[in-house]
Amino acid sequence: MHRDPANSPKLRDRSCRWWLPIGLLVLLTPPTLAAQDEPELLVELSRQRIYEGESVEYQVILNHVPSPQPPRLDGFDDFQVQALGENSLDSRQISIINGRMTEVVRQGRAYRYALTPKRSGSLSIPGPVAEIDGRTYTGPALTLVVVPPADQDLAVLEITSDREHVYPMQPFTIRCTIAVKALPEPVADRNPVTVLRRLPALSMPWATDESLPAGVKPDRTWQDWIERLRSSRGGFSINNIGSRSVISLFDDGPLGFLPEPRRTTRKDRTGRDAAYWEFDFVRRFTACELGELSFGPVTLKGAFVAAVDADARAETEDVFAVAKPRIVIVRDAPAEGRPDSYIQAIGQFTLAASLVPSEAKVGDPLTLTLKLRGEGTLDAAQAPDVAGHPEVAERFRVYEATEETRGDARWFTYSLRPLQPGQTAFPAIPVSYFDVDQERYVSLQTSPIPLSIAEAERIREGEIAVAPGTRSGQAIEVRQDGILANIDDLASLRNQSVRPAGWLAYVSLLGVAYVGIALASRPLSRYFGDAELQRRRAAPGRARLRLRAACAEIQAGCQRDGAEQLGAAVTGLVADMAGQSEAGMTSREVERQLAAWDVADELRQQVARLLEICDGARYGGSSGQVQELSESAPPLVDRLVRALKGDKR
Amino acid sequence: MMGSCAVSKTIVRLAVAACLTAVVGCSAAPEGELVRTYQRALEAFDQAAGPEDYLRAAVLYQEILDRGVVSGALLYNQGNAYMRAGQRGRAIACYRRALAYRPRDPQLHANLQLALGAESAIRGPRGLLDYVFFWHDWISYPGKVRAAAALASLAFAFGILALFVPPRRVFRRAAWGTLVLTVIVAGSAAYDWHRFERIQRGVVVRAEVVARKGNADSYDPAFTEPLKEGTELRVVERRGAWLQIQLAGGQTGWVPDAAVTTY
Repeated sequence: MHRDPANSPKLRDRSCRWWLPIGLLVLLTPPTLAAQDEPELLVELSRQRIYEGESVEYQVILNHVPSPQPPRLDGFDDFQVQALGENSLDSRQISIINGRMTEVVRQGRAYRYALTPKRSGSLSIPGPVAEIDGRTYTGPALTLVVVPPADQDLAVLEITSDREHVYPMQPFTIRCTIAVKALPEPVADRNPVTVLRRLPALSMPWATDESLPAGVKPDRTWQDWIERLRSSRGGFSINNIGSRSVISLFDDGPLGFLPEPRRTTRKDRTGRDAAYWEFDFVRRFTACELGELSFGPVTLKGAFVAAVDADARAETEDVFAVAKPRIVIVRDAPAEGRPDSYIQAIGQFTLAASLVPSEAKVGDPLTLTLKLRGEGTLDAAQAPDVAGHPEVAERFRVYEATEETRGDARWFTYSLRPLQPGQTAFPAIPVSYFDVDQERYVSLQTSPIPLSIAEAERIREGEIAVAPGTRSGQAIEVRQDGILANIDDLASLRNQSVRPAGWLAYVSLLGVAYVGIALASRPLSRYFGDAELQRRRAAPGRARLRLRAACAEIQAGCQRDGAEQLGAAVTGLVADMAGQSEAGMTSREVERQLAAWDVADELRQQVARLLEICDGARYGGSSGQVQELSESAPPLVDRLVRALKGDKR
Repeated sequence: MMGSCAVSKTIVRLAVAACLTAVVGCSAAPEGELVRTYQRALEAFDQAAGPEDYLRAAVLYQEILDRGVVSGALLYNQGNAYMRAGQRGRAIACYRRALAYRPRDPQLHANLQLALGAESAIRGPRGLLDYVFFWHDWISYPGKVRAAAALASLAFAFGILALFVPPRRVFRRAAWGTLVLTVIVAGSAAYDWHRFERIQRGVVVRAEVVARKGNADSYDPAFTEPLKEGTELRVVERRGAWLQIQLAGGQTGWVPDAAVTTY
């Protein structure tokens, strides 16, 4: 760790793996340090020494920066730089010690890159530059040692392509050839790769689709491509595809891939002809965008057989081989010979046109659809200049086209309005594209479309809707033609079909139910409509409730109140049964009413006596008699109720 | 008194629940497969480039109809698809059927008028009864049936209340009032049932078809001119592959059933 005094207050570099240090930095840095909250620009390199062709991970950390922006990597000319992503380092830690809360808030971001050196030697990695709060911070420069491959001839790598320049949508192949020196006699006929105990490790960036250059499309997925090269006899491991790959679910180590070998002769390190086995990894791509495509570098690490001793034991030698990247340039279609009707489409296409309706009046809208179907740069295809066609311009007003890609076709839709009446044909529209197979421009034409245009109906001035004040200028007219929009509300799909029989049954059921209820309700109606009847029915229950309360009062020693309630219970019972007012009903009247009902004399006398005792108690009578009443009154009231019910009043 | 109050509240609640059920309807939500077909049809329409594509959308709508689902929106959309496909006769038939379920939809009226052309009107000349029963075409056929059921439920509830709960006279009058309304709305619904479900109508779907005086090509033409696509008619009788039809003016003739779409 060192400082750069010329710039920011805290600039550090670290050269070990970052995950552990960053974690420690974030979690364990003392609060006093964090409390300073000064921006920091840290840089880290995963390795300080690599072989040519290998990549190194480079990380830039902006610490104590609330809203960081990605740093600038200026002067990285010796490296291919690929962004690997970024992650937040924001954290918040709250600790409470002895009731005192301490909060530590950190903010920052880490940016990761893959640096691939373009040459060997001791390379300087310039410091990244970041703008933080208007100040410029520059990180420290680092040094990376890139070791060139050793001069050896045991395994030689080459990357070739069948085309140096391609057009978009033009397929091309990238071939990685590994020439492995043949084994010495007497085992020269044995495959020099399958005899190896450990698989030589091949790093080939385009072997997996995730690391393909932008703007290129493989003809098949990498799994499909590589599965055909699987070998159980050994071979090369590629990008360490193995236990972490979907195609090797149950394998632990890297898988072996071995193309069909080809035996050749080439010059060895001493310049003499030597036998070699060549293995070709060939993958086919299609360029989709203009620009420069870089494939590589490819590296190979492994122990290859250098000699065989007298006992047929192999002597191996560690080999690190590198093949420099292969550049394929994707260029635009040539300007020479480019037709005016060229629409920036490259590939192979067919063209179709439709015009609806086929009969219209002057001024009616027509819809012209051009459909360009095929394989190629469909999205880049521009709408053909229909309005520029002399015949079209003379007879139609053309509005701007809409463009849309659906599946393998691009649709250009134009709105037209015919200007002249007559039986005519919509003229053929020329469209040109660049055919990548023939490497020349190809012109297509739509077929003329029969069209009948009638004279427009003239409408009176008053029929035209004109905005106030604009009658002399352009007026807006309501178009009466054309259908209005579909209904796309899914709720409207609810079944509206009517089953009249069901509804009729429902209404009939209501009628029948009403009649049934009306018939059955007569007694109920009589009951609910006769208040006296309801009072009579409720009388015994009410009397018993009052009697129970009165007895409780007497038992509690409130003899006067209890006696009064007891009398009221009996009087109320008779009043309810007789349909008379209870208030003011005297003992004499009770007795008369009972007599009128032909209640037995003995019972009538007992009731009269009970009421007399109650009246007496009210005016200071014997408490002993009242006490007795609390025991004799309930059976007496029960008898009275039975007697009154027996009379069916 | 408290008891009668509670009873009347319960009855009113039950009646309101029955009304809501009747008005809102108790049909189940559309199945997922139907919804997918509907969405496919909408997409087919939106992405259609020519008559065949629009016909494809119309066929998808027909798939839903064939499963017994009837919806004004469905028929309206199918009419649009036919219209775009250039099949005016079938479009008119769809729009006409949709009118029973969406009588106040201005877009449906506009599209039907477009399909009929400027010479024809959606409705014939209005008579006195049309003015008296002006509301008749405001409510959809299913709406009328449900409204009739809802009113019947209310009448039933008021009738029950009139049996038990005072003030009985008020409830009795309410019951009679709702009963009268029920009869009116039910009558309107019955008329709709008659015209939409009992009377078979049709529309000419060929560019031209010669109506004949009998059910064979050997008969003389019934009219001085062939019937044009979009001509609306009423089916009187079917004999084999021929339909006896009646035009709006009362003229009758026979046309091959393949030349007419019926509904």
